[in-house]
Amino acid sequence: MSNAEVVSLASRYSEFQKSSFVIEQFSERLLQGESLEERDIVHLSPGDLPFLPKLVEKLGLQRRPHEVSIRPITYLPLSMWLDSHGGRLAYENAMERLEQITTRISHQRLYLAIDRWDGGAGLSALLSLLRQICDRKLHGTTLQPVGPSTSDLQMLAIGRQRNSGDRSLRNGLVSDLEQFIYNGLETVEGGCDLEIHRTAARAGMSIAIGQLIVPERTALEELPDPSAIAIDSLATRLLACRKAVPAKLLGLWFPIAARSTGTQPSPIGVSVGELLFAIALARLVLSRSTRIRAPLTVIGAAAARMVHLLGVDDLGYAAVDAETANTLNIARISEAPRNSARDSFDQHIHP
Amino acid sequence: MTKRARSTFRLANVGFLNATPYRAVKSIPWIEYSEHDPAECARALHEQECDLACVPLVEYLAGGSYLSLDYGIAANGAVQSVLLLAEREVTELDTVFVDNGTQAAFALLRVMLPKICGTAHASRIAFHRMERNEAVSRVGGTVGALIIGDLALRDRERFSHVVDLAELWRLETGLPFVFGIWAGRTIQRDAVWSAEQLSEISRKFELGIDQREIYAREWADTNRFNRETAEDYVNNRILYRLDDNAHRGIEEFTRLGIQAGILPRSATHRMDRQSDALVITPSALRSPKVRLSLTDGITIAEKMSFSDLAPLAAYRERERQESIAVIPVTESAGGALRPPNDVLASIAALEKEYTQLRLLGAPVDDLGFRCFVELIQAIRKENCKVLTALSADEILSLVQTTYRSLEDVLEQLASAGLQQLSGDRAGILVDRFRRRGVHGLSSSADWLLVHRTAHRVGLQSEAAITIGNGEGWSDRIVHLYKLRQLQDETKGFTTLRADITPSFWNDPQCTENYLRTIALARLVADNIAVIVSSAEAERLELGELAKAFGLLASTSDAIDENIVDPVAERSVANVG
Repeated sequence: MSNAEVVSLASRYSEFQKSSFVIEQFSERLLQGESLEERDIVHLSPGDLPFLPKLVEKLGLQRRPHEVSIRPITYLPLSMWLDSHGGRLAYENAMERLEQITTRISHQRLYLAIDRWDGGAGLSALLSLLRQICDRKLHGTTLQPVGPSTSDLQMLAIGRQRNSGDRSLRNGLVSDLEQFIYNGLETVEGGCDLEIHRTAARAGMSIAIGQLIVPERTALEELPDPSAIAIDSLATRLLACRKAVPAKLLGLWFPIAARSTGTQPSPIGVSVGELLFAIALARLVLSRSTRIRAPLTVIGAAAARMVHLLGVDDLGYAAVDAETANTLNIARISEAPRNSARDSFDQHIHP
Repeated sequence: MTKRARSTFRLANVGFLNATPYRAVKSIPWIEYSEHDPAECARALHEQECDLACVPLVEYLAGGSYLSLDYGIAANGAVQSVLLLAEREVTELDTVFVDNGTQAAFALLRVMLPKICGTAHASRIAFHRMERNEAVSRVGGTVGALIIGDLALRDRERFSHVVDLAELWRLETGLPFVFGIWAGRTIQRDAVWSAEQLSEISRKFELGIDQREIYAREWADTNRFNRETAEDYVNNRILYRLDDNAHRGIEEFTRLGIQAGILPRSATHRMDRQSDALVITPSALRSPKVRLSLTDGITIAEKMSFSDLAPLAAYRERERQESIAVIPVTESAGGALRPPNDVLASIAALEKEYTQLRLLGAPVDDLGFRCFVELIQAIRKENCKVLTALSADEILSLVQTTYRSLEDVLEQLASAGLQQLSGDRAGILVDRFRRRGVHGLSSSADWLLVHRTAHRVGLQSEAAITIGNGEGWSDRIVHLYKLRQLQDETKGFTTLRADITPSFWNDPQCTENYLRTIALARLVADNIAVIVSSAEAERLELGELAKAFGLLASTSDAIDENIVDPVAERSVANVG
């Protein structure tokens, strides 16, 4: 039966039956190994969310709560320290803070977010300092820096271009990526510039694509960011993701959005239903090997306890200290579901 | 896992003269025996406080997959203990007070009334539940009473018009009517019935039936009742062994009960229901005509995953937003009432738009109650929003401290202009929780009585469920089932508020439990149109999540004059 026939037939039924019917058709096709295409996905909307856990379950993509990882993170203003105090003092500051933090946590791995990659001391000095810090294991905790986002890489390339007069952004980008890889940072972490992601993938890096989700009701011309995904164009952009990067290198996908807090609508005003829909759709569209992240900060603690049913592998980063939570504007790790895997993180898929 | 037969069984028998032969089982050492009203027997069975009970037929049929024995309380003609009492012809009645203890007789009355006085008149008769002595005392004029048990046997001659419902049933159908039936759960949590245990119970039942005169005499002596009347009653009026004819009577009643909308469409009388497999398939559940029985609801709650439940319960309705302005009427919890002008000033000062005004707190004595009534009148003069106040516990407390009757307290509130009672602290309507003091002061029967009486005097009320006090799925389903029964009876619930105890948030299963409870509420309490999340659930973002999964169409937004809305707002995070 063609898709048009399915829709025509389904439209005779109530909204409920229509959703049920269309999803039944999808699940049959997906179980036969077919992929969802844009012409299929356009028939889905956030209102279909009640049906998606079942579809994800049928495809064997649901997770158990303890399989969903969450990553403890702390923030270091390393670039600022390096610029103002020099390498040695920056190292001592960093180790003193990390010593304090690791004595009171029991995580196997602690992620380090740094303030900026394009500081005055230069990328080489920063990466060298970071490598020196991460060579140490403190109180049984492995330290791991979070890689640059595509925006960070853009800023680095623009800075290099300004200083050296090199007109080719791409040359600078490739050179920066090589430095990251040399210093053990092998993931581009976030950002939605697919061109940069593609370049990073070609250079052998693993890719974590974050895309800004905006609600269905936002007109395309009003989008806050040209690379943002409106719910109604989500399918196109997810399929572009799927095509842009080889499946084995598209390590992770996650939505970025401002969420409503209390009765105050956020500037973007995306609802938790729209976010969960985007997450479920990404699970269905992207390759099985791609991990799907539902950032705790974005979806909130209540939804975080349900997203395993939508095939989510990862809840993203959560701060181990108040300063990090405030600076990065992210959730505290105490808000994470108790049964999530705090440190279990598959090195082979997404280092 | 192989289930073991349990060493002790709890039996709940009806404490009326007609069930005395079943007292013979008391001599079985592994039986824990107790006697109650028929309705209480059903409650105990539903709430798993007993393993086998003599329950009203309607509870057995609506309950779902209970195992039934071939014993019960039936009549093949006039029974003399299930009577509609009146001083005028039934065709002249406009109100019938119904004995609180009856289920089967009430259902039988509703099935038979159209045959007595025509469908049009039957639909105009109002039914109100009441304690049986009080119900009898109100008979007169256009008011009648449906009375069961020993009181009916004693008092039948006092009234000029008496309809014996069993006799009427026999005349209409030619079949016996089964009022009560011995029923038990097919599978308990940790045990199944063994064939030996069942046959020993049957042997004792047979012995009791054979010696029923002895039991009747003993009962008559204890209750200062006429021995001959008692003996005649158990010998000639009651059938104890349910033969094929009695089973046909049950089937006929099932058919008519479904037709009259008294029984769920899934109601069946099947003697072979030995498993707890789902009787209703998920696809059948999608039909709005299918109603879940109690045990099917429990099976679904315990076995169906959220992924399966969500699509079944998904709710597509135009979005509603309920904004509740909460105004404290006391200085502190349990404290003195605020001056009326202060309260009125607080209401006038509310800046946000709201759809409902909720008064928080209650008076503690008669003077306070009169002030409270005046306050409601004053609010009503100025304000036309839905006005909600006082929980069932607060009403019961007022009944005690003001020395007024429940009816009087509620009538005063209704005539002052109160629109609905609050569902606060409803907890779970399962008595073992309420006895522990987990949920308020009232028993489940008291809680339901307050709401039933409120509906009778013209008030509406909120139904509510509070999860997170250690209750299981079966407890939640029993709770929802009780709400559904009362709503069937009175149609007085406006909403069902899904609440959560704050401490439950620490449970990893909290979110899923909350969403599943709402999904189940949609399926079980199918006659309560609007389900809303509580303020606590909204605070924990559970309401919004339930809405995302299509389980709620309404969310509530509490506006408290003393609470400043949180302004902390998170911007786009750089790290996911």
